[in-house]
Amino acid sequence: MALVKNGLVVDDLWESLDGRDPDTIDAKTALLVSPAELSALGQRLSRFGQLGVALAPADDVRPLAEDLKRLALVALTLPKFNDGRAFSQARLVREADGFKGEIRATGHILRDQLNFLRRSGVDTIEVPDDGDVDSWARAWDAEARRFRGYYQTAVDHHSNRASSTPPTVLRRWTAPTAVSVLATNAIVIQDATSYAGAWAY
Amino acid sequence: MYAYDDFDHAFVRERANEFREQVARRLAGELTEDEFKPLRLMNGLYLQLHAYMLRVAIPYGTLSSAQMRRLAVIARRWDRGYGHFTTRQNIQFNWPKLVDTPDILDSLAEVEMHAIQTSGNCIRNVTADPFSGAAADEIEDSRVWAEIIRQWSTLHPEFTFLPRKFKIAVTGAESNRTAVKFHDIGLRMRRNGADEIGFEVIVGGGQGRTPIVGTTIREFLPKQHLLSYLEAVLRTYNLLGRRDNLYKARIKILLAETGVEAFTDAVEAEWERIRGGALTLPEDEIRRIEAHFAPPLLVAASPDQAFAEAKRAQPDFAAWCRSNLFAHRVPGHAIVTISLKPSGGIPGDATAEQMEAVADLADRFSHGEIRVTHEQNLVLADVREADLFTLWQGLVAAELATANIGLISDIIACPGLDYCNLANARAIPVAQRISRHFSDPALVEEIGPITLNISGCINACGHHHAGHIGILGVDKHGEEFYQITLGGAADDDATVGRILGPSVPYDGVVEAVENVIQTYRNIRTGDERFIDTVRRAGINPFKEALYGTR
Repeated sequence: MALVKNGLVVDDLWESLDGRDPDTIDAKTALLVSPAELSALGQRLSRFGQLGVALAPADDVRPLAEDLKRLALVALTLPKFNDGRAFSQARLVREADGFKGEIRATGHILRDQLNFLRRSGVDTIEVPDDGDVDSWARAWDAEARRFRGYYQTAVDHHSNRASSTPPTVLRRWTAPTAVSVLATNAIVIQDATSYAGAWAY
Repeated sequence: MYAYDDFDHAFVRERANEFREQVARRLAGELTEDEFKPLRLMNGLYLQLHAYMLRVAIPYGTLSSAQMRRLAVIARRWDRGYGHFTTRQNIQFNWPKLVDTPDILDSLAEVEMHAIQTSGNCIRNVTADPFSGAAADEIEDSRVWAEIIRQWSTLHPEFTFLPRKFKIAVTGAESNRTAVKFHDIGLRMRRNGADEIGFEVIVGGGQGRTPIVGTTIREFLPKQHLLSYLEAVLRTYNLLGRRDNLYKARIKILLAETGVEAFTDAVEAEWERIRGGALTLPEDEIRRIEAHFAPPLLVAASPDQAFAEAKRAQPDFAAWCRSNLFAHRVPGHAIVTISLKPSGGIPGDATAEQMEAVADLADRFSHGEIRVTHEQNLVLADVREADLFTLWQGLVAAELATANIGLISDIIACPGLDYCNLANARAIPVAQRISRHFSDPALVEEIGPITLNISGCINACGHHHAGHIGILGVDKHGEEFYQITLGGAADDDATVGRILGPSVPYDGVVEAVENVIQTYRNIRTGDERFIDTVRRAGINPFKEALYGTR
């Protein structure tokens, strides 16, 4: 299936283990396993350079803390668009110490949710079966630019921590025209023209 | 009150634009009704029995006169000339057309208003004490904290697809005027031993088909940690709350099924992880919000001679003063509640003309600010005693001078089967009949303080569980019947009412209420309030009087 990663269309190079014997699989494979497989197979998975885990909505992220340090992908699922557990799972994964990989959302996603997903830590979405990949890629960008600022801190602002901008709590401009002393820059909108253009998807 | 700056203006306009696009996609058939539903709900747009209904947010029930005038304009232009103030301190318009709703949102944005999160499975409009900033018994102005929560919760990326709706109330006073124990989270300001101010955190209260009084999971939360703690509660709920059954999806069920201790442990563990982090409120951030709620400059005055004179000369005015005024922290001032419960009227309804009259009176006598109460009335919070008589005359002219606050005809009612597609029975005509029956001001005053709440279905939007007298509409083989409960209370001794006996038919409700009131008058001792009589004597005397001793 096609993916949109940070707004760009990319191929899905990952393979699911799906009950196969991992020893028979080429170590260069980007391998996606379930939490149960991850804990049962342990060391037998260590030869894979790229290992990911696919979580069900009810799976608890916190016991995976150690594993997350070596995982390159966490895939989450929205069984239905209004089942919002993936948003909290994404947040917990993104905030886990040492996780630098991809967080992928799959399942029933509405494009109106892309910005919420992105701000919760998701960077990649699996385009729904009937979806036009390019339009989803455009939607990712458009939704990210829809608001010039947000009222609350979220995962998308973590990258600012190391910067010299002061810490903020309630609200933050994402545009460089910010006037508030509380401002940070998460997404830089170059000018008003491109900003206005972002609505017209 | 809170005034928008560039940031807020931009945000609300961008949101209105987003909704305009979503409506266009729906009208073009790009979105199915199922997909459009959560999007419109997050902008307050419901589909009811006869039409769409737009619920506009009035954050913690505070409005400027300019905003009130705009609501009047919207009522005239896009509705049928009136609006309905709700138990969540919001206003609903019952007859907008889908194609007009983007224009309505634009119109609201011009006066710093919106309909964000007045519906849907998200954090709803935060409610607060309608007497904030004015009440004599206040620790701190709860609106400051309600505004902080409003900002934090607005389009929160993580908590917009919760298992179910989520309601938060804040109270900063000794007396609880926000039904704080009947909320998903109730926050109550407290002083600890070291004289610091913080919050008691009450979780899992609620009404609906499983009425539960909330449980305190933390006695004292230092206020700078408010948002991280709320986030810990919400994250725990979002991950663990039930999603398999609509009626078991509220946090109160999670709390009951997990157990208070295990639930609290989960919240505290998550809080431990994030406390002291990015959500810690710096003092200057709190100050920035506080500055918006600086109290108006009021000069203490000794009792006004003309005011006393007017009360002697005008018994109607005196009666109104007895029921509709509340003690102000500044001598020589009063908090005025304007009743939206005239005899035979629809609780909470106001015409466009009445909204404009209230706006004018607020400008003349109360610094241009209006509050909405969860009992569906309006408040002018800072009125000089010397102005009360002129204010009252203005209210008389607008047919807004009913003297019944806290009395039996001050009924809370949901829209019921007249509007709502969830309802089993009508609520409004029942309220109208009861208020007509109890229309003699002297009698109503003699009966004394009492709350009477009516819901048209088990979802309990009319707060019947929390009424001293509660009336619940049920459907029995296609006929409307009404179950009566006694002893509910939303105050500090929050209680769920007990069912009196078999439900009564539509035509028997007034008679049943009359019977209950007669019993109360027969058995009360001295000037005992109705609720105290029920608490002392139990429901049996009422049961026997209504149903006989069989």
